[in-house]
Amino acid sequence: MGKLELGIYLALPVVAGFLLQGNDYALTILAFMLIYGVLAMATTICTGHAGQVTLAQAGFFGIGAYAAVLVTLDLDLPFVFGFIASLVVSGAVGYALGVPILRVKGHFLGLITLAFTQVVYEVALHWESLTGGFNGLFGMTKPVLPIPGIEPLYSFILILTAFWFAVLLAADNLVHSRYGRAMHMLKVTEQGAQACGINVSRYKSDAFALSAALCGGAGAFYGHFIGYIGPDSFTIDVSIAAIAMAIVGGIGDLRGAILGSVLLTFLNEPLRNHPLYQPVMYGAVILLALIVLPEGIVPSVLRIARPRPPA
Amino acid sequence: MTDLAMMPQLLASGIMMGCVYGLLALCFYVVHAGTGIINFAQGDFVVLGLIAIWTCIVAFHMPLLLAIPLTVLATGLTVGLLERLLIAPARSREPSVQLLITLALGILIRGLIQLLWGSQPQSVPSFSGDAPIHLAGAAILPQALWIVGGTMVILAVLHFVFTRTLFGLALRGAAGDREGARVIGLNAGLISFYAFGLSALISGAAAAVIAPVISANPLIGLSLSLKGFAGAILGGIDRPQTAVLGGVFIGILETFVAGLISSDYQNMFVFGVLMLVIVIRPAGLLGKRT
Repeated sequence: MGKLELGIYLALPVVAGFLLQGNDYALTILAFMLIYGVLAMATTICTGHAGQVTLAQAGFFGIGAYAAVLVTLDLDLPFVFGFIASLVVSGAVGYALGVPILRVKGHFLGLITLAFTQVVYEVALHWESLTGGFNGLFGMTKPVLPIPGIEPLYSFILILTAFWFAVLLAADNLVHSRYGRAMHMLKVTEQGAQACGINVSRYKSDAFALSAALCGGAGAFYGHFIGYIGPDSFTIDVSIAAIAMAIVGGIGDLRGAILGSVLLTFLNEPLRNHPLYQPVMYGAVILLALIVLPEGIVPSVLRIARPRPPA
Repeated sequence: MTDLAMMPQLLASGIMMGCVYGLLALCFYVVHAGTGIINFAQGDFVVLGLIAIWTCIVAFHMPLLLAIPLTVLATGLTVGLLERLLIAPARSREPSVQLLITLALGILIRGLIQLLWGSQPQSVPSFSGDAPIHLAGAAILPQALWIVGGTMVILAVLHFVFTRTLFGLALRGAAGDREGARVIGLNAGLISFYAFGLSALISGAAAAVIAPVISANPLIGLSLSLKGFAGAILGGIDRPQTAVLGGVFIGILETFVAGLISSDYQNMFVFGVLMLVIVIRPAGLLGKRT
């Protein structure tokens, strides 16, 4: 992505948040778009770019949230320490989990990572002394900037935007670096990658752990933003949302991840008030998008906008 | 009751649930063999069957002889239609897309059932009463005999399909070598349709016999999928026999863990077993070494 394009992406939430000050509901939706944007970009790196299908995002999201909240609540440290803890703990769990399970591929990996998310849910539910069990943990406050003249919620959006933009910048650099191209080779042809001397298992673990750490960071923001976390905050639905945003927006395309997170968060908002219709509509929209736009929205639109020159 | 005295009882319950997981593992085998897809909506196919059998028996008071075939047929037709509409267009797409499609299909089925039917589990009466049969220190529900018997019948029919019909041979051939199957002119689209259809017929039959035990619960799909898949991986998903045995083993294991340790961590246990198998023998405990 060019500097101008990146600048526009940075400006969008900053300006939108500024204009929406006073409208807490709209700012909340914006915060969710950014949090889910991070999850979708993490999924794009792991699944879209490196080809390792994952449904573990909700698990790492949860682990990060619990790690951060325990640091700020129990140790009484500022948010930044909780945030660092969330990156480290989620990344470490991701690395440890990745080493054995990345031996399997494709759909199998999907189901095993889904089982992992279920396990995180069960641990959060039953390890009451640490996680508060069913009641969860509450009482944390969101980080704000001491800038006079702006709302606390908007200043939180600014901090969140900084994280979101850092993820976008890092992911964009990764995708275009030598290291990132080696990662992409895993998806295109694993045997080919091996033949080129790429350490396949190391790159797989790296991609998986990196995406896990990013999901953990998103979890830290989520927990402190909502002020409550419990097992039900981290169900498989979060993983499905993350992969749906990444794929519907455009497989392996960071712009697609951003667009997907904005669109699906936006779609989900009116549906939340109609829980009976929510799953049907959500499932139907994803299926429809996948059948009508096989490669996701962004690549399909780009293809129409920029037809290939005749050979 | 001492732990030792509980053994026969746990074994009996374990075999009962194991039959269901075994049939689910078989469904995973059939779809995977035919298409290379691991079907995340598998458990929801069973839920379709559960709703169908409830409708037949409780709502319309049909006799069993009519209710069971109708359930099997209804599940098979619904899934066949869904395969044509939603799975077939994505046949040659990358794994993450196919995975999202079966996931979304599961969400859609679950959502539609909740919308049209409700989300409260409804009980289905046992086929032949609830008086337990005492056998070797275990109290066995008559329904358990239906489940085990039903599983035997399904396996016998499938044995015939796999060894005697053109579709069965084509399916096993495609499982062994997908490229080769295409080279000799097997119609991949048709195999996909039949594979999903067959898995739905099995799901419907399994749902019919298990309904009185687990009741018609629209939200049970995902958990059934996970257990059946764990069974298929544990035994080895490359052959139908090993997949079924893996499923039975998961059922027995789960019941023993719940009975002797705690039922809080059932999924964790299944997951632990999965991890162990993947690390030690990726092809499954009974699978061929690759």
